[in-house]
Amino acid sequence: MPTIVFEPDFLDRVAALRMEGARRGTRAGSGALGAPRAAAGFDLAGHRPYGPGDDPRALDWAALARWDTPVVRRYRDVEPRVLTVIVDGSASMGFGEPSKGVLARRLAGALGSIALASGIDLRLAGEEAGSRDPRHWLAKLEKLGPAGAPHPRRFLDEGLGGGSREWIVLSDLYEASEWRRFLETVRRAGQPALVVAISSKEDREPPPAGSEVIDAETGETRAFEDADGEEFRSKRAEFLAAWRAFASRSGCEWLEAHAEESWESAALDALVLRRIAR
Amino acid sequence: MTGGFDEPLWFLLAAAGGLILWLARWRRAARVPRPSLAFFPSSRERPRSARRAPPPSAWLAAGAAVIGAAALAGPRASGGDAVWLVFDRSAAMAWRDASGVSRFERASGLAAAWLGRERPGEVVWAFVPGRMGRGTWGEAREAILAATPLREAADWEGCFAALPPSARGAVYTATSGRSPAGFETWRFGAIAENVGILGAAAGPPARLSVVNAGHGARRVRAGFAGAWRELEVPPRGAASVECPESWEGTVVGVESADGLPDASPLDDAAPVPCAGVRLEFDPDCPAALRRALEAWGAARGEPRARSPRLETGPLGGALAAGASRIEYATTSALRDHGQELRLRRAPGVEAPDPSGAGSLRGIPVDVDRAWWIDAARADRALAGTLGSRARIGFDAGANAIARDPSFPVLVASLAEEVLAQSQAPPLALSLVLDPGVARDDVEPASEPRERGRSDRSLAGALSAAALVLACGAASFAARGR
Repeated sequence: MPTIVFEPDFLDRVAALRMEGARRGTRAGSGALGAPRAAAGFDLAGHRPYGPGDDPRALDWAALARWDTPVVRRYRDVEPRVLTVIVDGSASMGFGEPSKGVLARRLAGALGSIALASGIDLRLAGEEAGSRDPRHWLAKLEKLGPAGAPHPRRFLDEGLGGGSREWIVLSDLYEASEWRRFLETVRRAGQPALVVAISSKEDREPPPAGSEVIDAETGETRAFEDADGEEFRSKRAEFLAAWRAFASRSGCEWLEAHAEESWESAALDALVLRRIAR
Repeated sequence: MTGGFDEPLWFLLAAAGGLILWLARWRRAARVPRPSLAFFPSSRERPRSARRAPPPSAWLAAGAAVIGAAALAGPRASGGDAVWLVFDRSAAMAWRDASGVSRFERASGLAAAWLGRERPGEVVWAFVPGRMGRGTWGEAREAILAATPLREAADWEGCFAALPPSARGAVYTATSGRSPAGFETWRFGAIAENVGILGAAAGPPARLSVVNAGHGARRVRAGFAGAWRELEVPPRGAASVECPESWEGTVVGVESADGLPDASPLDDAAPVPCAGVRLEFDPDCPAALRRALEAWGAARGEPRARSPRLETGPLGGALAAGASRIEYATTSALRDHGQELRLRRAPGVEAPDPSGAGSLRGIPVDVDRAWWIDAARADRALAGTLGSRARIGFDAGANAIARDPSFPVLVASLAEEVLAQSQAPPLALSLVLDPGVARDDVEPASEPRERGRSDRSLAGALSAAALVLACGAASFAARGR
């Protein structure tokens, strides 16, 4: 029986998550994950309805008095035009219980819904920007399936586009060189990126000694002995260290998430991370 | 067939089974899917701790060892451990040799002794004619010793045709005849043929015909006033030779053409006084009857007045006609009573209520000239006269009487008696039923145990070799690479 990616109360939990983020001091108006920064003197882009998690200071009291509806001001200078979410759907994302792919889609659903609530344009990698209804966003992710991810090379071929873009990458990052090339390009374009490295138990723990390991994507096999456990851990540590170093060097925001953990916890970490990064 | 677990070769079977179990539990490297091989050493494709899978030849050899060990333990007639014992319980098996022991007693005694010695796990016993049974060796022994021959012919071929294919490998038989081809049989008791020989003359020109109801070919010498003629009589067939119009002769020297001894004294010698025989029969009568009559010398053609006539009765019906007496005869009664069997008038005998169906339709019986046979189970033939003709009716279809070895004898006896009491011309036909040869022609029982041992020796050697091969292959595989 396939795992249900988005429970019926998913959006309610996202709203609660956004409030919890605000309570923890995440800057609600920062970047794609929150409301526009309430900075007086910037160009006013317009209003949007006040939502849970919005900074009360951003409330336009005059508009409230006039329309009897709480709205917040939107400023042109800090608002990224487009948030693009990349969900890796390669076969390796099928590991874990729930799978890494499920966590990736849940995180994309949560962070994208928060972005939409903040008045940010949202786009799934490889597609045009769609409806601003978070339910349509979730439906799109639901349909994405476990193996629907475009290869990062495709975005390079498509071109990153100009203007204010921001990226969220949800992947296990095994195609490291491709991802790094992509992220380097993003960095050179001056576009911020959040990289969420998702791992499962199969990624983190060595298999039983004496087993024959099969690559889920290529079918290649390798032997694994008891003595290889140390090498496994060492190589994995090197893998993560290299990624962390790359993220630090390239200015990417870096987050590690476990497929078995709560998506809300990972999403909250992402919100907090945004505050730290900014 | 082995007698139980005391058979050492069972240990070979156990060893082969153990090997197969071991091969089946062969520890293979667990195949574990992983998202990536990036963290795994790239030097080895096979875990050092995983042994190489046993080659298919190990499985084949182990299987051969099991099959061989199972087969060499003896014949397996029905898939499992059942031993098939098939007994000829026809009337011929009641014949007793000079020592007074019947064929059946001899065979059943040998079989019972063998069962007591070998004690197979399960036995299927079949009596032909009769029923089959299945049970332990003790139950089989009891059933076999309690059985007696029936007054019927045995459909031996039919019985074997009905046996399951698994029984073809080995069946123990007790029969007075040959076992059908295609079955490997070990035998309890005799291989002895029933040979129904009937000397008769018909003419002109007169002919002597000999009917062979047995399974093997026969050579017959017939003497005609000092001149001897030889006839080769095929199995289930007849041969005839031209003879003087009127003569007194003797059929002697019945020899087996293929080495099988003759078991029946009925046929070993038959003085044949011939004074011309003419029998007419219905062209539509059963083929077996027609063949017998033809071999007997019966002539085709228009019936002559006052000549005897043989007619077949309806299938399975009561051989009765009208509300009067009936006359029956039986081949089994004939066997029992031999030459004492005689037709006699049956005044005042009440006939059963004719049912109509199956009666001698269209052939009314002259009740004043009806005869019956004083026999215990006289249920097969009807003899009498109608008008100027003597009539003998048979329930040929129901009891396959025409295929009975002694059928010609029965016909002759009936005809003789009927004609003797009628105004019909004398039927120059007679048989002497005295035992011509008093010899023990029961072949010693074969020793299936001996034959089985011989087979087992070879099969055991092959199985052991297969087992060694399997072990070697598994050992080689266990070393891995």
